[in-house]
Amino acid sequence: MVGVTLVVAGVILFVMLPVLRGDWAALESPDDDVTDVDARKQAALRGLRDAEYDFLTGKLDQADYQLLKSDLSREALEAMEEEVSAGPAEDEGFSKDGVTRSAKRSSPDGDGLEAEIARVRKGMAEGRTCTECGHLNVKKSRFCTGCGERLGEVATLAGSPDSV
Amino acid sequence: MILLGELALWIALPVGVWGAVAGFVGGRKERGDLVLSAEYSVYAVFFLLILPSAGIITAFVTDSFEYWYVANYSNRELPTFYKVAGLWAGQRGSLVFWALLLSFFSAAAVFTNRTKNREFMPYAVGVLLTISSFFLVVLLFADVNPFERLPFAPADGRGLNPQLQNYWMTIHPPTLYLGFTSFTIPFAFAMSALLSGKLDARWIVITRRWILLSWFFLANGIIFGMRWAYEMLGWGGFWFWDPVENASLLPWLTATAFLHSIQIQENRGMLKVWNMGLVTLTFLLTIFATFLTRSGLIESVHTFAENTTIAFIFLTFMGVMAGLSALLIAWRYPLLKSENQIDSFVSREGAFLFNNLILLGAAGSILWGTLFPLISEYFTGQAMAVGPPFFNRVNLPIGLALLALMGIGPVIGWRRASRRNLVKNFLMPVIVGTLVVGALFLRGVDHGMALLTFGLSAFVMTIIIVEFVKGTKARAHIEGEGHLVALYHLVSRNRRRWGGYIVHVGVVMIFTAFAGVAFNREVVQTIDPGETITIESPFGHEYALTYQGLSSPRGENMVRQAVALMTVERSGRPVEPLTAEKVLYVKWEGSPLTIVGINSYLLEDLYLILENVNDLGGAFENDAAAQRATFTVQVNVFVGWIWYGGFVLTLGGIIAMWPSRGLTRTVSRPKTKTGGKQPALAARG
Repeated sequence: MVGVTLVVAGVILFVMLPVLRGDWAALESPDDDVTDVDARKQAALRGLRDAEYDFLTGKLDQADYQLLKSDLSREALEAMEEEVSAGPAEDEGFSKDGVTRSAKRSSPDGDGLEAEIARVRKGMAEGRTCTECGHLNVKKSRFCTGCGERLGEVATLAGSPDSV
Repeated sequence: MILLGELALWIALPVGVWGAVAGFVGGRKERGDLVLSAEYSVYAVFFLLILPSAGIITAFVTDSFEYWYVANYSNRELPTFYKVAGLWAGQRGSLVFWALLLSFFSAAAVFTNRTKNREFMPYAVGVLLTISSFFLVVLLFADVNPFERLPFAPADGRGLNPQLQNYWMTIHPPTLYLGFTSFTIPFAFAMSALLSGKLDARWIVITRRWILLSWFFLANGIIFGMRWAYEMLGWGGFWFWDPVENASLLPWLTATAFLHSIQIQENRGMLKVWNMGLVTLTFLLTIFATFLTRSGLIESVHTFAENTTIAFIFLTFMGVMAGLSALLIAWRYPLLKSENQIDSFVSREGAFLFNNLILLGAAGSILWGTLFPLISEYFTGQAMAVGPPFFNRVNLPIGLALLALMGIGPVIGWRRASRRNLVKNFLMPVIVGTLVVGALFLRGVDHGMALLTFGLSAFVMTIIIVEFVKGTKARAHIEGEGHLVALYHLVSRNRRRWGGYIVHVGVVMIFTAFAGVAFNREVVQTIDPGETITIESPFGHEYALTYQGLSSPRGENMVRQAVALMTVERSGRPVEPLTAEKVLYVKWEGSPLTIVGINSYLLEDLYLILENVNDLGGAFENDAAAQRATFTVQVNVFVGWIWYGGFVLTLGGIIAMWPSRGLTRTVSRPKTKTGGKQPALAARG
């Protein structure tokens, strides 16, 4: 009987402790592994990776690949821009390769996704990622080899990570 | 311990109800203290449910026959092994076990999300504790209390059903229960997303691994059950379309559909309502599975129904949950609209969509067939059961269509596929599939459906192998890696995709095994010692089984045991002898149990059933004159591939579930206390 009483008392105390002491659980987690923007970014980047793989293995032809890549790159860039404009988290910043630390932290697929982020962001910084088709061009390109769009305005539109 | 366990059930119920209320109110009013209290309630319920589980096991091990449950499911001679498994041997204990597993997964979900995904937790905890409380209400008020005492303590118990006295008893039910109960977590997060209005892709990202885990346990539980049936029931098969077998298959089918359709939502922002519907349906089907086992409304070898009151409680619960979920989905419909439209049905999302429709079609037909006795009784006054022919006829074309889609889906890109690419990607697999069909036909295989299955299996396997080869080559080329390293990185960088392909390999192997049934051989013969039964395998071997006679040893907990020994030659060469048995257990003097003998080879099993002994009583007494017996000998083609396929499927599932490095990070976030309330909430404090 003593054991039962102890269990009952212990359980009640344990469960009611937060209310009695005023301990609060966090109801938001701004540094979550997965935020809405993060989830969209991850989906777009995963899509980019899959599209590249599908193209390399012959599942997508050039035209479909470019179209798909364009859409996905735009989605990824929008999500990344949104993340940047939302303001850095307390420990957030940019590493030398232009990848946000939060992006590195939240990458669900490890290095592959980080490399994608780095590639897109670096291309954006250097004006190499075409906003029309998302194609990553070689350095100092003036026109996109994917769709022929002029690349000069890209850096201005997207901005450079260092300037954010 | 037993008394403590009994009382713990009564304490767990108010704690669960309090936690559920605190979760919902805390979420609605943004009261962090209530939410924390709700989360602590989850841990407390888990702790409290360990006590009755331990109490039941203690009651079994100590032969406490004053308890109705122990007296009806155990006896003194029952090996300790089975006494421990007594926890889930009958209705009452298995309900406690279900509640224990549910509370364990709930505690795991709360613990792993203690510093992240906090927006979802209040309502998720509310839903989880509501469901736990439902099971506690059933246990305490539906006349199924495992601690109910008898007016007197019998000297011995009734014993455990002989069919349960098998080592699979300790593996199959717990694995299935793990699958059933763990699916409550994705459902709780889905409901939380609906209640909180946070209907972006997060709830799917958060629960993706839970869904995989549940699917993994369900798949393994089903395969373990098939193996148990194959070894134990002596019906010469592994699947009988028994209502409770069907009930375990239903949530697996819808969970498989869900695993594919969430990829469309993740990649294209489509099918949000569909996915909400699927997660709800799968959860309801897990409850339906336990309802069917317990209701006694449908005859089954698995059922352990005691009263029909419980059936109506479960039906009411399922009805309420279905209604509330539907209302929530309708309420949030504007937030669940698709962000995109399907560009072309010749695309991966198109293939996934067809896959979903086919899987749901299969689930619908199986549900209809399972419930048909009830439906027919309602309309005609007479219960009519549909047997395996109905299920086989309906599900064979469905299965073949699924097999084909398993090959088609991975080769089509997202959004659209050009004809040129389709031809390029499908040409070789189609040629290989056709060649396999042609070669088998020329070798004399003329069973149409089996040929189609083998052809499609070859088609899918070719596609998967080509995928691995192309992927490895592409990676080796891009990264300048060796092929083995490239293969390792290919899989480890996208485990879900490549793990999924490995799962497909396992499924193809299992389908091939199903097709093998068409070529099974069987001989039934009554013989005396010294006589031989011969049977030819479709692969050209000839088995000769020479009957050596019956012996009657007595094992633990057995009253009588008649073991027939057969020496076996395979194409003239002696191989492992086989034994087949008839067993009567203590306290179960009805029909003796049949235990089969199996010699397994890569392509076939030699399967021996002791059908009948002319003078079983004499055989039990080792009477030399009572040796004449009837045997069924089968050659079961490819049946081992079900188990090999199961291993491969398990491997693929583990690869797909294995956490990526990026997800293993945990954010060390100190718990916010009074002095450190969140800014937004501080004013309320």
